[in-house]
Amino acid sequence: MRRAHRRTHLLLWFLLAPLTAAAAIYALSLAPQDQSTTFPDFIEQGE
Amino acid sequence: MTLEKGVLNPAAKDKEDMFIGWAGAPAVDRRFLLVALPASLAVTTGAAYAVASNLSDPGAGAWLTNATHSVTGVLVNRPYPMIYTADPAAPDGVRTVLVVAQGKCTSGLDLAGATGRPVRAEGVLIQRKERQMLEVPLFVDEWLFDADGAAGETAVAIPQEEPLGTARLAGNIMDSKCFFGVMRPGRGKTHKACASLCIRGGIPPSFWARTDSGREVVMLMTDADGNAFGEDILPFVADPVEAEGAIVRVGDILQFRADVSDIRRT
Amino acid sequence: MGHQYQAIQWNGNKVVYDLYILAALAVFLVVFMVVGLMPTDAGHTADPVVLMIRALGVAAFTMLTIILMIGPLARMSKRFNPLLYNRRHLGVITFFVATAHFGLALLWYHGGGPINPLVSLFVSNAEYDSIPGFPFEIFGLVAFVVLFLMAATSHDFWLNNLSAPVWKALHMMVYPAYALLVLHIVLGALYTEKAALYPVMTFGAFALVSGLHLYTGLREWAADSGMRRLKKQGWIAVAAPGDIPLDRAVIAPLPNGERVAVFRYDNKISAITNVCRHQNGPLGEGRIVDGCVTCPWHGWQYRPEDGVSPPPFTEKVATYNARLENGMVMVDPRANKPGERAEPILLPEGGAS
Repeated sequence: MRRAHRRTHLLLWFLLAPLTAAAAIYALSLAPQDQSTTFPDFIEQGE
Repeated sequence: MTLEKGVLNPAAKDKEDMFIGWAGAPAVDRRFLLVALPASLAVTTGAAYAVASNLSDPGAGAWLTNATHSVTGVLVNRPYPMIYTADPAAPDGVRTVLVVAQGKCTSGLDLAGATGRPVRAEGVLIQRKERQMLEVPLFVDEWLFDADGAAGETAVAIPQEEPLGTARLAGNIMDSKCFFGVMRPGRGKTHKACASLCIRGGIPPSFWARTDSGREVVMLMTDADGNAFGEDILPFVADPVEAEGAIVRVGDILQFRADVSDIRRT
Repeated sequence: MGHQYQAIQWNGNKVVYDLYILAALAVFLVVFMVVGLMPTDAGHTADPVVLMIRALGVAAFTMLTIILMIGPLARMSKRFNPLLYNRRHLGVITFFVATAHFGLALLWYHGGGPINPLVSLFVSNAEYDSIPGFPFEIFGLVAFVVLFLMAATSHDFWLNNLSAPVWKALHMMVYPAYALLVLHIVLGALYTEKAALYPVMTFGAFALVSGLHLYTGLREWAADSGMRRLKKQGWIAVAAPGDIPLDRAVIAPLPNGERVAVFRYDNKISAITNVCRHQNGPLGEGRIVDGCVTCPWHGWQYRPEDGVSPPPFTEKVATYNARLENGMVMVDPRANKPGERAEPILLPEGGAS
């Protein structure tokens, strides 16, 4: 591999790895949880 | 690779034959591959098993494509095409069966002025617990027939609306067709685009909510006037939302009537 | 090596390689579908089309993860060179799997509706202004376009006609594409399916690929740093002839940062560029086979004296002038023109001393 190319690889991964990991972890943290709610009394159905 | 006296010496630790792609593989590489390939196969197969066996429950819906289902009753068009049919198992003996078209283009359904009178419809049944839906072709001649009027058939009365009150509920706006059984599971972020497209095409939306204890309710959703929504509902489809509106009983189902301005993402 | 372009130059190794991939893929999909279609305790069954979309997506990501591990692994051990050799086929097959995933999802989720499926892809989920709501499909689409361009230009024909720097820049896009796929998975699948196993597998795969790249990248950097510091002028001292194994090379640094491979063969020593004309493979890690320097990556060959490929091939690489001085092989750091003959060092009878 050419030297410039070796350096591109290393630099790319030095940037890409933490950036992607941070973005992915942050995006995952925003995932909505299943929400529950309270039904009023007049909803007597409950499947 | 070994650094020796300032230069790289690849041969220092490496006395075997070299693998050359266009020649036969040396014994050492053959031995390695004899272990590595089965090991790799075990890993990839294990991954398939692990992913497939941990998928969440696909839900209680079903799409009964291998049989033609016949529904006889009264057809109405508001808020969505549906048939009220006699069903002893339903409360007050009347079951609501939503009618949707094949694909996602229900708004193209031509009901040919058949509303308000007894008809027989034939299509494919989609069912989730108590909720039923009939999937029919777009061309009315292929699915809509006069009711046979066989002896013993009771005329079905269109149920009266019974307002129950208003409520603010957290839940999801689903597209009823996928949710009732065409897609399993037909919910969540990966289904959002499809759900939005279906509702754009005329599939009725349903509001799905659950309590902490797992009790769930599925209500047919309309705008505050009890009509079908316009496109302004689309941004809220499949997202976790909170909506405030009126809950109205119409026969065996509940309708949730909310203005789009009373819906917000949570 | 291309004296004329053939669609694929098959040989026994490539056939075995491709058959293994197809078999492993078939097993993957069958196991996924069979397990996924089993009814739950409550008697619920998944929709087979959605399940197949998921199976194909997981397969494509798994295959791409494996592909991206091969490069660094081959730097760590020669045992992985057989996997490197035909990696291009693995890439193209991965593209086909990705196409099946994309095509099926497009038809099933976006087809049959009131608008064109390709338009629906962009507008049905239009929450571009939100992170959790963001249409994850778009990340997949961009990655797919990259994979398409790579598969379409995977043949050596394109390598030569696009020019090596352009081709290489295009194929380096696989790395950002892989990162986008991680986001595609996180914002899509991991939002819908909440089993803890899934983020573990996704992040684990990414950590493996990036960890291997960083590790081997740092090793190469250390090798570059550890090699002899050179004066800017004058011939460089490489090694004593006896330190160069027969039919092998030692690799020395040049002042411009590139590397030169110095081979000993018969009773001669020649210096040739370390960089193969094909895909810049490390010639110095190769051997002399049939009198030719043979690249360990794809087996390309060059005569050591002039850097010319043996007939019928016509590739040429640069040679370097070398002489023996006080028992050390000295190399002129100024490269000759590709194909120019450089007189080998002739060693006395009895080989190296």
